[in-house]
Amino acid sequence: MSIEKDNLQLIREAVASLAAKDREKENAKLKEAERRAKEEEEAAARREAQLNEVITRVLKATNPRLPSNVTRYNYKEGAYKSIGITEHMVVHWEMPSYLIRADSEEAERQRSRALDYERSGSLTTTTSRRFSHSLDPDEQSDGDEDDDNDDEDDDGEESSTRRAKKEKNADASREGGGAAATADAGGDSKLLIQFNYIDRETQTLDTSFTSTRETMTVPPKRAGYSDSVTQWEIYDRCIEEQARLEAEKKRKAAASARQPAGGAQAQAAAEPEPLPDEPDELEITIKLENLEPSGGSGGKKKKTGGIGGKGGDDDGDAEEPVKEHDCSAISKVAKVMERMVTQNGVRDRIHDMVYFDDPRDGTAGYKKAGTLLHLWSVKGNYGFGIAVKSFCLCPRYSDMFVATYCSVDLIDKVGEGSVCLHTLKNPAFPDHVMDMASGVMSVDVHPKQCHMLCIGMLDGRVAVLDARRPSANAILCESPVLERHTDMVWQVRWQKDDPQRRLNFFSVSSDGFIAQWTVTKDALARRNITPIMQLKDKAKIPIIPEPWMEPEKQLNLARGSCFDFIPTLDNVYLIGTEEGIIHKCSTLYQQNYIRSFQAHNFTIYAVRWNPFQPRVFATCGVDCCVKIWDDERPETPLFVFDLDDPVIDFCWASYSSTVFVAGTMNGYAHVYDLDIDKYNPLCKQDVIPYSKNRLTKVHFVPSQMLLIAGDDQGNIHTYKLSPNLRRGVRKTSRQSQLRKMNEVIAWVWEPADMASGNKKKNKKGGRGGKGKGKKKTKH
Amino acid sequence: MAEIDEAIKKIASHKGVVGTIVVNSDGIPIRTSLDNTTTVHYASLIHQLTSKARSCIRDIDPADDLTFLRIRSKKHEILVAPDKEFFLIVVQNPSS
Repeated sequence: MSIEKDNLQLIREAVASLAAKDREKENAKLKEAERRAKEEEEAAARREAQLNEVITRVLKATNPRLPSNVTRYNYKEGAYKSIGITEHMVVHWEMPSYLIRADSEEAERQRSRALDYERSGSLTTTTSRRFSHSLDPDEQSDGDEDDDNDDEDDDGEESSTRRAKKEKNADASREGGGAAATADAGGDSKLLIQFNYIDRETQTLDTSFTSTRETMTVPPKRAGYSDSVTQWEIYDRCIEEQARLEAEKKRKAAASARQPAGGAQAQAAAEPEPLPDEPDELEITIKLENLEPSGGSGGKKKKTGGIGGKGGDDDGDAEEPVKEHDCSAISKVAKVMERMVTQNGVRDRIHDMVYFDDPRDGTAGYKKAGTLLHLWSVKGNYGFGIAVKSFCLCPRYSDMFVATYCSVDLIDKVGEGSVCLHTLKNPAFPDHVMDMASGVMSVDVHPKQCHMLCIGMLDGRVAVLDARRPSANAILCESPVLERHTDMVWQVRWQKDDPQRRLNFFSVSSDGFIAQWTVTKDALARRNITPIMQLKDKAKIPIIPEPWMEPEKQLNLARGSCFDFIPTLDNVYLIGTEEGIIHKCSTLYQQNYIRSFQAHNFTIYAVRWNPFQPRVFATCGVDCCVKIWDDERPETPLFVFDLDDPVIDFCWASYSSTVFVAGTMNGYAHVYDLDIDKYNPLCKQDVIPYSKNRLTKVHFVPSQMLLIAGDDQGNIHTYKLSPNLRRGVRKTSRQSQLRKMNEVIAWVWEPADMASGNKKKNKKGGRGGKGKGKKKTKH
Repeated sequence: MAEIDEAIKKIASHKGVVGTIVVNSDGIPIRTSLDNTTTVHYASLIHQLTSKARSCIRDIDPADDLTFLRIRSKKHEILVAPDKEFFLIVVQNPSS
């Protein structure tokens, strides 16, 4: 029982202790719990405090991997030394950029440069810019260094990289610059760095549509232009330039020359002007020049006045419509064309005219015969009854001749007339027509100034025409009303200019006077040369003046019908009268004649000196005879040819001293060559194809060996002489012609001498006796 | 104006003349006696030929100038008279 008790006590004690422990534990726990709660509170409070605490953290740019004990051998001191590492920066990746600040100086510079280059607008300039950039890196980099202070760190690094890599980047910059330039070309300039253009381009992969899109616009309209330069274009321009310069010079000279005159006029006006205006001066000069008198022996004077006047006129003309030019210029061209067209039509005739050589003429039986080949006839278009009244060859142009037209009816003196210039080159129409108020009986062309024609008209007037003027104004000057002839003017002839260099001509008229007319500036001045006196002692029929007679007869004036000047002397001439008497006169003696010949019984139609032998002249008249006279033997003629019909006209050939043609009224032309046949004509041919017409005039045209014949209906017929008729053309010397004629004369006058030894006489079978015989030839 | 017509009438009255055309310097026919198509045809062709001919003559010697041009064909002859501002064309049958 003690153990039990002990146990029990132990148990009690254990339980009691346990309980005490439990109580203690519980108390400890409670206390711990309390303590823990307090700790938690404190911890919470501490946490909060901690949370509110500002913790400073520091970032250091130090490279943790950098070794801190680097030693290097220092050559100066010859020992290893540890050096501190300065570089803590490690570059992981670097990409230089091309952006610079927009408001930096460099940007300004670039912008301005870009603008300049846009203006000049070509890639070449941008390349040059780039080249210039690469060539002057120092400049650029200096500039950049200045900027760097303002820029961000990026720029500073870039400039340094630039400096480091400047040569390598020169090429790169070119390439990059290309891209940059193209980017530049459009719109605003991108701010570019000079050296280092690196463009990174990306392209999106786009399969839905093509990345290039093209459009084509309508191409701009094009016109082709081509031109050529030829030698003559250059020449033309040079000539124009020269002319222009000369015109300017002239104008300046004229202006300066007239300056005093213009200035004086201006001062004479109310207000004194400091300087007269240029255009006014020019007007004055032109007007003054226009006032210069024109006309007179100044065909030349007129020209010079005209040039000055035309200077003003031309300006006016230029403003006129183009059609005006057409009118004036076309006449010249039309003339040329007309000639060609006509010549085409009459081509074979033209050939004949030039080349006709009748082969028959050389043959045996035909030595003394010749023919006239009809070439063409120019029709007169003046109506019925207008005849060709006179021919005159133009001395200068061998193909031109003047024909005058007059009414046939000389008594009533009606109708109009005209003067026409014909040319052999245009057989259809006259070249130039000048209509006159009355019939024109005769015309003469001045030997030196071929545009001056003097005409004598049916109503007694004489006039001087200028062929250069338009046909309406052709009359240069006319005989004054009081001084004209009172009867028709048969013939006019130009003579040498008088000592004052004025043109003058002579006229013979039926009123019995020969007048000399001088062409002065304004008009014709007349001077009577010789009233043609009728010589009573030679007259076969005494003339007793009776009141019913015409006034000329009362004054005993013979009516002159033709005259001719000696070719060698100026002042000796022959007059043929309507009474049949020929007077040889001189302009120096007005009262007396040198000699008179009783040539024909009736009117003498033509008296003509031989062009080579001044001793010989020929006459023809109504009494159907052609008489050839020797001046030294006025009693009898050398030859007399009886032609059976009134001989209207006569003409010596200017190529041979012994050839002449006589035309009779019935239309026959008789061509004689005294050298070959002294009795018979070489040719007697009807030259008026229209049988009803009568011959009025014949004339030789030596340039083409033609014979022209005019009839009383205004037609002109042209004939070509066959070779027999034109012998003597080859023997051109005057001496041989003279010799021929002298032989003929000698044959007539001294057949006795000839009889002794001359072949000619033997051939002819001699007539014997002195040359009294009138050798009649019958046809 | 009347002068042109007169001159052309005179030319046209010659025998064998088929037609006359007056062409100005631009190649436009001013007066004609042929029908329109023929006229225009002639005018343009002859214009070119004339300028060529003139250029040829003047190139050889610039002081020289073309005064007349004649083209003979089997059927007729074309005569051209040039001037500074225009030219005159005449077509003629020389045989008739």
